[in-house]
Amino acid sequence: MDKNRRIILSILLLVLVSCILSVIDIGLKMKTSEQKEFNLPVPEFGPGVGLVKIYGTISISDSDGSYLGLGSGADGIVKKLSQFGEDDRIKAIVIRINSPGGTVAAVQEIFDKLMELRKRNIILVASMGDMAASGGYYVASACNYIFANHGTTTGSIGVIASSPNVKGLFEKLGIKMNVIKSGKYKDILSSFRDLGADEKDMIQEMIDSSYMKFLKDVSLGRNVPIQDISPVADGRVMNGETALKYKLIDELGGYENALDKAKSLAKLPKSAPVYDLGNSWEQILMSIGKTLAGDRLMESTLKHKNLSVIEYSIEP
Amino acid sequence: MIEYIKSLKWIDYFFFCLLDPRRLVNLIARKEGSPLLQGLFMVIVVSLFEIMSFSALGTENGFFYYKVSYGWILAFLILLLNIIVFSALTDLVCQFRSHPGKIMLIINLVSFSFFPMVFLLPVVTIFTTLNFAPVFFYILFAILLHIWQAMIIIQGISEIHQISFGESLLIFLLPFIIVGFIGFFSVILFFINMFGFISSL
Repeated sequence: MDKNRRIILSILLLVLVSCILSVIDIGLKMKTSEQKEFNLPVPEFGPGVGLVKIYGTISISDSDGSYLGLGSGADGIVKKLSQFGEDDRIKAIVIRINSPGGTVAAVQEIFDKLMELRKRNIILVASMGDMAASGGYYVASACNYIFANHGTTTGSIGVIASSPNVKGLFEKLGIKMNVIKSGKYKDILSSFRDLGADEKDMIQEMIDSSYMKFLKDVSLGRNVPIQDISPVADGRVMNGETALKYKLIDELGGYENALDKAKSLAKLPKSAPVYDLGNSWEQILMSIGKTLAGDRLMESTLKHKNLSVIEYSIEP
Repeated sequence: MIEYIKSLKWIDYFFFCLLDPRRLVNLIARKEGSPLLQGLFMVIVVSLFEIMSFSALGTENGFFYYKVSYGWILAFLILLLNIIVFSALTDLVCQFRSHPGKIMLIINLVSFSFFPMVFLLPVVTIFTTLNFAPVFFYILFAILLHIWQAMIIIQGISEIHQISFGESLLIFLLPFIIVGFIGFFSVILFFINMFGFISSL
């Protein structure tokens, strides 16, 4: 038994030795990692540039689902802009846009908020990504300076409202809709009947009114007469280079250029921090919730009630 | 106590634990040299060694000091809780099968069964020094040592209640099955509630 005890004792001693060796090994490795930690950046503070991202289709929503590729909620964006506006550290804001546009009201709300910030001498610089067309351009026009990449799809200044007409298909299939309505125009833009001439005039009036508002706002934001914009404000899309030619943008460049420009216009050093409020867990959960139920439900309800939405957006 | 340590009789627990779990159970039952304290000491050492072996796999920073101090206490408490819960469930299963309740014996047995786990640190040290797939060998040896640990417990239970290896294996597995079922349904119910909450926002 004594022999066995000695063997086990030897094993235990070996384990103890390996433990000591392991501690030394960990200690040696740790020293290297601590040296690297000196290169870590210090937390940023002081005057800087705010960053707001407008990705996807713009609509009225209180959650920012842009990170999920679900479009940008105007309420969420306006809230972010307000927070930046109240923050004394924010001297300039870069609006990163990658959007084909959105609903009229949502785009106008963002535009108005940007103009309000601009009046309070906060520098606004727009940076266009793949696309900043129609409503996307509308928003950008509120900024002091606009950057677009050479390949950015922009322009598409105009308003559109559309609804499919499946009357012929329904007739072929022998399906008839029973519609009980309170007024003559309650099912305007219905997919199940032809659009009357008077109805077309009414919609056209709304479109024209929204279009004029678009032109006026772009003229105001860009500080150019309406006459200079109207020749290219026929819904045409263009790339960054053409947009520069028609003075719809100020310079060709990417996100980094926009950041540098914002800092230079706000008289900030190049090392000034960039503040991105990001998405809180609450916002992410809200957005997922809206996606699962609320927004989709509302969207489908709107479509089935034939309340076609008038949009500042580009049609593929 | 000093006489007991000098006599090297305490080493018998570790020797029988590794090679003859049935004799370990008899030794525990005789309560020579406070097996409960020795078992607790074993759990303390194993929790420290587990942290060390895991830390040795990667590059550590200042957090290592927290791990081997406060983290070690946390690991010890978690391991202790696991031992108590597992022992309680095992004893419960034994009593359901008309065997007498011997929870203290089972707690001591389970505590000592962790002894093979101390060999994980030397293995990791060797393979880290050689820089030869240390993570792979860590996982491989962790699995093998856990199997060894399970064998100690199964043979120990077999000796405690004088039952066959098969019945002892069933008693060993039932607590895991019970906890598995509870855990599985808890996760499902949690996600159902979570999605319900998100959908209602």
